[in-house]
Amino acid sequence: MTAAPRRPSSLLLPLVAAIFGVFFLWPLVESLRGAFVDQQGRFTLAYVAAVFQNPVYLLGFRNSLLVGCGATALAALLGIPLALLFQRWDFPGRRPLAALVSLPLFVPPFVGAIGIQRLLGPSGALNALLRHLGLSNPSSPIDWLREGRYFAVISLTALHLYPVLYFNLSASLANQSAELERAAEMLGAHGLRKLWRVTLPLSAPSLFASLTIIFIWSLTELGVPLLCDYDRVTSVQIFVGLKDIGQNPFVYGLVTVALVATVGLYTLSRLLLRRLDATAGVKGAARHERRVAGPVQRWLMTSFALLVLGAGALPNAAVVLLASSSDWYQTVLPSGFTLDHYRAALGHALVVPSIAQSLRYVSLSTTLDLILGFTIAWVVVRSRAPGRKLLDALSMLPLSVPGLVLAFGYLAISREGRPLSMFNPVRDPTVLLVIAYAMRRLPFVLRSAEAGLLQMSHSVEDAAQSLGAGPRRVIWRVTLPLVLPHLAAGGLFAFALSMLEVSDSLILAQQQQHFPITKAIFELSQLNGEGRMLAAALGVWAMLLLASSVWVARRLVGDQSRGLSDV
Amino acid sequence: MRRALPGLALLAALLLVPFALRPELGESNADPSRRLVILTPHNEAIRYEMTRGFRLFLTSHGQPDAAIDWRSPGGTTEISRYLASEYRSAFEHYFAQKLGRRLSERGAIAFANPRQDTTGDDEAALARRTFLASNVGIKIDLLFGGGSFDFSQHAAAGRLVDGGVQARHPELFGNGGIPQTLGGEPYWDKQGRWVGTCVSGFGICYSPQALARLGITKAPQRWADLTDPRLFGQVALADPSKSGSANKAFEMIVQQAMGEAVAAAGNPAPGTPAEAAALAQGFDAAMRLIRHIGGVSRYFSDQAGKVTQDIQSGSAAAGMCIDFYGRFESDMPGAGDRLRFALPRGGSSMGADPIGLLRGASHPELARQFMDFVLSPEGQALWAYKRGVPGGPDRYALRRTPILPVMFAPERRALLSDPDENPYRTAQGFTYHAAWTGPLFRALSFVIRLMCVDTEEELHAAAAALTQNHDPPRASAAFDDVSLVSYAVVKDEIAPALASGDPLREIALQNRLVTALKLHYERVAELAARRE
Repeated sequence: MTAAPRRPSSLLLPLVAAIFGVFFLWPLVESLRGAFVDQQGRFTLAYVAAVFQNPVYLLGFRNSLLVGCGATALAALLGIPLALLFQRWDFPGRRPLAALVSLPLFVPPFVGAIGIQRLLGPSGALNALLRHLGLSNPSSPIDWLREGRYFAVISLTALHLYPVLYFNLSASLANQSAELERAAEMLGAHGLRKLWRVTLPLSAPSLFASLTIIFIWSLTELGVPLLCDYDRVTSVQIFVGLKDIGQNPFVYGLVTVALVATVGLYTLSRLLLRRLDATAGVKGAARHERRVAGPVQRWLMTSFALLVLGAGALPNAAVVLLASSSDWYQTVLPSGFTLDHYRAALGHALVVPSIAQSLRYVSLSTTLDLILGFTIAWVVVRSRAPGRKLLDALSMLPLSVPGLVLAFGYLAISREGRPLSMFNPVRDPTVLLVIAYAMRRLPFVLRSAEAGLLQMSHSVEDAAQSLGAGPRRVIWRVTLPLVLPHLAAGGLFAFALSMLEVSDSLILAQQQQHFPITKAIFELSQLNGEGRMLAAALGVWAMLLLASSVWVARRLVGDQSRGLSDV
Repeated sequence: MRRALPGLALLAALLLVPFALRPELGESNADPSRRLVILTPHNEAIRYEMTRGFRLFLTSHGQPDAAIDWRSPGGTTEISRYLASEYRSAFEHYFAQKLGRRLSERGAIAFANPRQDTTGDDEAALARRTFLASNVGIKIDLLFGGGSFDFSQHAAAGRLVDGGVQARHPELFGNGGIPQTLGGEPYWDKQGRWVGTCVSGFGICYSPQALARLGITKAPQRWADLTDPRLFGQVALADPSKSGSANKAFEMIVQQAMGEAVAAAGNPAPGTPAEAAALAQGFDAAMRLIRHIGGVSRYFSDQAGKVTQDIQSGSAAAGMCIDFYGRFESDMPGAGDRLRFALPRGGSSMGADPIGLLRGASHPELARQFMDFVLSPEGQALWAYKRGVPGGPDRYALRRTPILPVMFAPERRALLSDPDENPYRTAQGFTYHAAWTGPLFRALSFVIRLMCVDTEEELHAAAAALTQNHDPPRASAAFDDVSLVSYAVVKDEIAPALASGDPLREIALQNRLVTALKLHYERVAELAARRE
């Protein structure tokens, strides 16, 4: 790091630390304090210690770690080649296929799980297809989600998360200067050698950002293990503990251990992957032209892209088929189609207000994420303010805090008589929901912004300063435009995932007029009989809304910055 | 901008569709002071029908209109957690205002603890005494829906107060009215803090098609039928540690086994050593049965609808589900051979789904009117009548079983969605002995969780090894050895530890038992692999 403007950082660090402290750490401490108090109200570490005396919880940690490693490795195997393919090569169907990459992020919870079961369950579409082809025994269908549960969990997690890597790496590749690669080629580095020694190191910050997000996310993923009945992982054990009618504070001890482990693992990965995290890359004027391979290779590229994207979009396809089916059981495709579920779901009284509320909450929370994420990233990367590394490590915590725990923390700090009672969610949950969504999705924007800043040469900012631009003007006119593709990638995740956020919404949005769309989907899914079909139909609508919003956003801001339209 | 036009057009179209399909809303114009706030896990269908029914009820009784503000922060466990933390906060605020000092952590733990002594000058006793004498509220009037177990817990904590239904309507609880208990299930609180509004119980649901594929031709009729090794990984169960109603279903298995053991011992007199020995024998037999069911289980779920959904979609072959889910799903078009429902032979417990007035309710009078409505024939009809019949629900057939015995009168049969369901008849064939398992209720869920849920992987491995190796004798005997969770251990060690209210004691016990059970199952698998 070269000399950096110190004045803004000395103001910004305490400011962002205070926001993070008040709206994340404080509610968290409120929620977890039961784990540190005994029956007499005295401080104790006995609940935390008890976690280490239970072999089942220790095995849970081990399994979570294995899932984290496996899913991250598989996501890298899918996401890195795909990003390189779409950024560096031209092949048939490249543009329409690129539009499919974000689909796995748009699958609404609950209904995605129901859809996957219809595909991979014992009476699902895959077994029907195998039976049809004479490749399986009808009397003993394969239970794909249960047999080899570990592989099912890491595959489904990786297929859900590889877009995180794809988008961050694409933003980085699109902004890499072609000159360095040309220089490498002139010195004799081609193919894999060039990739390994030049291209990937230049994108190292983006790789680090994505891999840590995917690792921590898969470590704490709840939906996929629950779908595969893989209960011996920490996230499920915490979920089960929170639901226990005994309500023993022990579960908060388990949450605490999981949080400390997250920060520890993040710090460890930072040390191990120090090389990846180093300042790298130069953004230059020379842009990469997409290469055109021979006819066979071109079609092989299309096939690979189709295979990965098709597998990633399976839950989307399943939800669409489920919502449109009159019946789907032991057949490859539904045996009948209908639009009735869409009509009933979209015509429900809950739906219209929930759409308006969701758009309001999520646009505000994404804006907040972008401001906070960029500010923290700037302080961490560009300043030498003491405590910035701690803030960086702590900012990964929202990924591993169960939504339920944080939501109860927000309730606790906003009650009557408490300092934040003006935000009481019963009157209006907007402020707390916006903050909750923003805090939980902050790591995505922050990691993307950090990667953008690390990848950007300092010399550009130095040049602007030497020409007389003040620090604020440098940030506004130079730094921000250059990291915009990275911020767009992070913002996309924050927007899509907040639209589909469940646990905060369930607890904080209590009155019907405040329900966001996910709570409306949840309410419809609870109706007996056709409930899950209605939820699937509303899920399809939400997927379309997300996809078209992201598409419009890209088109509206894509021209402002090179490479953004690829994000 | 021009490039974004097609996307903007699609966005506009997507947003317009729900507006175009939006139904006409019959919004209430009620005075803001007549806005009843109800906390509930009930779904949208129940909320809709009850709102509509209550407003009609008020009109027909010459009362001004009212609006209902439904609050639903999740299922019963989320609601329990929500209530606990809301009351804690409200009481901390009240305590500070009334006594001019901050409530200590000890006081905050003690104020809602039913085991806390209210006499004496220490902070804990003062906090409890102050809370019970107060009208501290959380701006919510009623708690509606859940299980009697949860309601009893809230009542004991002091969060629920007498709603006065018994005083206003003694006729509902007298002869021919709602009994205080049925088959061991409490239907109303003697102090009036809650009262059941409808009933439900667990039954067996199964897929004839999936069973046939596994070579099972006989439909399951008893819980014991769910131990068939051919069902390995195919039995979907409800988690007793997440739901009091699910735990009640397991308690029935224990009661049934105890009853059989006592009968086999020639019905010895209560309190005699002979009866104690028979009870211990029956309890251990039930633990073996539950362990065998756990051995072939697919999962223990806390989601009420998951089991029927998984059986209907072919992901499980049989399971344990709440009656109205089973009935509803088995009647869905196309269900046919994919889902059937049966109440288990030998009895099933039918538990109450209550309503209760919350301490410090802001609209107590309106809340009482709502309670009266839910227990009136008009309110009861909404649970059970077919959609569209006079007095029945308007949009959704709820298919719940009402609690008022009068609703099962022959003249109403034609109006009921499920005319053959009558909890008062179902319960006749079964005698519940509260003294046998009542004190062990919480311990039972604790033990089943450790024996079948926490150690599920090792249990499954042991059960699979036994089947693969044709049940070698030593291994089978070891599998059936339930000494770690025997009647003596549960009664003398586990139940007192849980009743002590000391969470650390509970955790120490949990860690010790989990370790022992895990080793035990691993030993069984080893023995089976060696065919011993």
